[in-house]
Amino acid sequence: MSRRTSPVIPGFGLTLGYTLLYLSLLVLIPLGAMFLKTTALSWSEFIAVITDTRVLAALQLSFGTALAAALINGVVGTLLAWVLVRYTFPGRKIMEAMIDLPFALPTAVAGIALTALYAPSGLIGQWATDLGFKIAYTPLGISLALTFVTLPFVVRTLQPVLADIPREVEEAAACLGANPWQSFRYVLLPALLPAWLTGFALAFARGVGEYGSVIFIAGNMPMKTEILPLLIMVKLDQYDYTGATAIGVLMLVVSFILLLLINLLQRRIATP
Amino acid sequence: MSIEVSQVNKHFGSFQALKNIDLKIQSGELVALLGPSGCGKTTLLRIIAGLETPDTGSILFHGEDVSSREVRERNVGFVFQHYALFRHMSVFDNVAFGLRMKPKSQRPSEKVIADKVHELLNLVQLDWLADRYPEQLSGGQRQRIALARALAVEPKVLLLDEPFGALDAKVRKELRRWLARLHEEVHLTSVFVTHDQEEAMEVADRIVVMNKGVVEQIGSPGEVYENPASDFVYHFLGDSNHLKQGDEHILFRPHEVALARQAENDFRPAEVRDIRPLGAVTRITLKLDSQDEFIEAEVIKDHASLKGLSRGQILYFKPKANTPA
Amino acid sequence: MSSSLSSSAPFSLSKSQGRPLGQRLLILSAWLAFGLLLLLPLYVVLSEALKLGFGTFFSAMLEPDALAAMQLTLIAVGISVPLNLVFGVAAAWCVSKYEFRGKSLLITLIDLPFSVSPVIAGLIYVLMFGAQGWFGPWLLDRDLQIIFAVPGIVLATLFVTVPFVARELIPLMQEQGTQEEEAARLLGASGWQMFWHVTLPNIKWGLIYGVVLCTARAMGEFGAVSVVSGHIRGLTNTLPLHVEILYNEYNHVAAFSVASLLLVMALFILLLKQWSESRINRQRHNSAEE
Repeated sequence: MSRRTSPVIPGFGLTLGYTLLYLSLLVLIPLGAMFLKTTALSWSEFIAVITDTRVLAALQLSFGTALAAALINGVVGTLLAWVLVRYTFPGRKIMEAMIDLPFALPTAVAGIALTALYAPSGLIGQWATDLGFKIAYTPLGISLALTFVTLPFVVRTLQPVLADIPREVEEAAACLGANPWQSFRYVLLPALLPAWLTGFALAFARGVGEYGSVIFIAGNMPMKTEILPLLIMVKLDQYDYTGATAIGVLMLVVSFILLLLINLLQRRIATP
Repeated sequence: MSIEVSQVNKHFGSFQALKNIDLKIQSGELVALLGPSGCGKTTLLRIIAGLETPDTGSILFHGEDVSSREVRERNVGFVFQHYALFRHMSVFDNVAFGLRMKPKSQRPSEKVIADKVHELLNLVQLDWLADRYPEQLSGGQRQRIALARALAVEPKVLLLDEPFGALDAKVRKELRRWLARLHEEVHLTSVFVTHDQEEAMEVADRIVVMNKGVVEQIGSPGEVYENPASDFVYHFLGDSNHLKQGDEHILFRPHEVALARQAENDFRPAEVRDIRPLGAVTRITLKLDSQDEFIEAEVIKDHASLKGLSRGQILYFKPKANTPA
Repeated sequence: MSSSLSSSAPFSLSKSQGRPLGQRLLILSAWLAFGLLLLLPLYVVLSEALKLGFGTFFSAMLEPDALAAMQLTLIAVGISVPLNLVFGVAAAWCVSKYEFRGKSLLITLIDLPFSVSPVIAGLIYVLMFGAQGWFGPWLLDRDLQIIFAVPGIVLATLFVTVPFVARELIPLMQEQGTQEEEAARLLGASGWQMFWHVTLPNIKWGLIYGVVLCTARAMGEFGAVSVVSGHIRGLTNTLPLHVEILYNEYNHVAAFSVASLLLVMALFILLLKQWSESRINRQRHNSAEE
C-alpha cells in the first residue's frame, strides 16, 4: 500500500509559508520586477533593442558556444561517466572526486587560468599559434571555457543511471548475438538518453548564462566575441537600464523555450 | 482496554478506503485484521492509532471518544511493517526514546529508564543487543526491538502492521508463536494486520475479514473457517474447489473430499492429471469431463487410494462437507 | 572455467595483461580528457602564482585590499549560507513530507535560480534597489545604500545559492519517508522533539553536503556580485572580484596568488564534499539492507 501523508507530522503551514515567503522576496518579486521594467518600452522599442545587430551577434555567440560546449561535454562527459562507473583503474578515486572541481572553483579563477593556458603565450596557446590558429579571444576559447565550467553536469547525471543498469542487460544482449557496439547503441544508449539530455540541458543553460569564466578568455570584442551577459553589463555601465533589462528578458525567454523543448523531447523519449 | 470503532468512513481522493466500519474489540483480546492488499486494513489500523483521521465516525477507547485526541496522547503502541527503528540510535536508545520524550515532570530518571529498557529487552530476549544499531540486526531481531520500543511507554493497546510481513518463512513461524505467548503474558489489547490467513488463524483470538473497505465477517478462527459468511471469506481462508452439479454449484476445500479407486455411490469419476506429495499430505489434481476447472484433492500420504496411482488413471471422488454457493 | 579457457586461447597475451584493448583505450582517453580539461588549468594557477617565488605569493595574499576582500567574502558566505540552510530545511520538509497541489511547480521554483544567468541575478536587484530602481528614491531619502554596498553583495550571493541545500535534502527526505517521524510521535515526542531527535540526525550528512556546495558557490560567485558591487577596492570587493582587478591591472602574479588561495579552498571543499557524500552513501546502503 502506498505511503500517504500522515496528519501527525506537524509544520506544514509553517514550512510552506516560509518557503513561499522566502522565494517570493528573494526570487519571484525581483524577477517579476524585471519583466515589469520592460513595459517601460513599447513593443516596437523592445523589438528594436533586441534586434540590434550587436545584440543579435551576442545572442548567436552565447547560444552557439553554449551549444558547442554542451555537445563536447555530451561526448567527454559520457566517456568519463562510463569509465568511472564501469572500470577500476589507478587514480579512479581522484578522478571521481576532482570531476566536481569546476563547481567548487570560483569561475573567475577558472577564467584567468584558462586564459593563461590558451593565450598565444600560454602552454597550449603557443602550440596552437605554431599550427596557425588562435584559441583565446575567439569563440573556440569561449567554448572551451564553457566546457570546463559545465563539465560535471553530464557526468553527474549519467553516473547514477549507468550504475543502475544491471550488467545482466548487456550480457543478455551479448547472448542474443549483439557485439559490444550494438549492445551499447541499441540497449544502453536508449536507457541513458533521458539522463543524458538532462545533463545536456543543464550544461547548456549554465553555459548561456555563464559570465565569470568567459570574460577573461573572450576578448570581449563587440560583434565578435561579446557574450550576452557581458552586453548586459555594458548596458548597465552606460546606465541603459531598460536596454539591459530587455536583453535579460530575451535571454530568460529564449533559455526557457529551449529548456521546454528539451523537456518535451525527453518526455517523448521516456514514454515510447 | 476495549476499542470501539463506530461508523468510520475514509476516502483518499475519490477512492473510498473504508466504508461504514463498525468494530468492537474487548479488553485483552488479540484481534487480526485480515484481507488482501488494498482492502483498507492498514488504513483502519492507522486510524485507530491516530495516524490518519477518519472522514466520519469515531474511535472509542474504553468507552471514551479519542477521535479528537492527538496521536501522542492516545497511548497506543504501534509496530510498523518495516519497524521504523531510528537508524542512528542504538537498540537501547531506541527502546528508551518514548520514556525520554516525556515532559520533564513525568520523565523518569536515567537509572529508572535503564532498568525499564533492560527489563523490556529481557522480555523480548534480546538484552545482549542493547549496544547494537538497527542495521546490525536481523529482521526478526528488529521486529522484537520495535515491539520492545512500543511497549516501553506502557501503552493501553498494541497495534501491529503486518508484523511478520518482511520476514522469511521460518522466522515468521517462530515469531508468531512467540507473539501469541507474549500476549498471554502481558495481556494487552492487541490488533494486528495481516494478509496471511494462516497467520491470522494461528495467532488471533478473533479475526476481522475485510475486503474492499468493508468488514465481511468477524469471528473466531474456527467460526470464520467453518461458517464463512460469504464466498469471499470462503475463498480467502483457504484453497477451494468449485464443482458444478446440475444447476448447483458446490464449494469444498481440497481436504474435504473422499477418494476411491472403485466406483461407489455418489462418487464421481475423474481423470488424474497430477500427483504431488507435499509431505504429510499428497495433492491430486483431477479433471472432470463436465467442467474445465480442475478439482484438487488432498489426502494423507498413505491413503489407500494412492497406492500404485499414476497419471491418466481414473479416480472416484466425493465432496465430504459442502457449502452451496 | 572461463579463466582456464582464456589462458589457453591464442590471445592469452593481452588477457594476461589484465584488460581488453578497447577498455584500455577508453580509460586512456578519459585520462587524457580529464588531464587536458581539468588538471592543466589547476597546474597553470599554481605555476603562475609561484612564478616569482613564495615571497611575492604571500605578500599578494596579505596585502590590505586582499584581506578586506577576504573579509567581505566571509561576510557574504556567513550570511547567505545559514539563511539558505534554514530555507532548504523548511522547503525540503514541506515538499517531502506532504502531498499538495502545485508541489512540482514549487520544486521548479526552488530550482529557478540555477537557470538564471548570474548577471541577471545582479541586474534584478539593481532594478529593485539601485538609484533608478523601484525603491531607489525611498532608500536615498533614508540614506540607505544596498547596491554598490555590502547588502547588495549579500543579496546577490543569496539569490544564486538558494537551491543548494533544498536540492540535496528533497530526494534524501523523500526516500526516507515519514515512518520514523510517525513512530516518534506515537512514542510521545512533540513536533520539535521529533525534528531534533529523529529527522535531523537522519538528514545530517545530506545537510552538510548541501552546505558545502552552497559555501563553494557563495565563496566563488562572480557575475551576480560583479553587477551589484561597484568594484570599490577595500570596500565592496570580494575575493573573486579582487582577482579580476589584479588581473586587469596586469598584476598576474598577485592575481594568480589570490586565485590559488581560492583554489586551495575549492580543493578543501571537494574533500569535505567527498567525505559527506560517502557518509550519505553508507547510510543509504545500510537502509537499503533493511
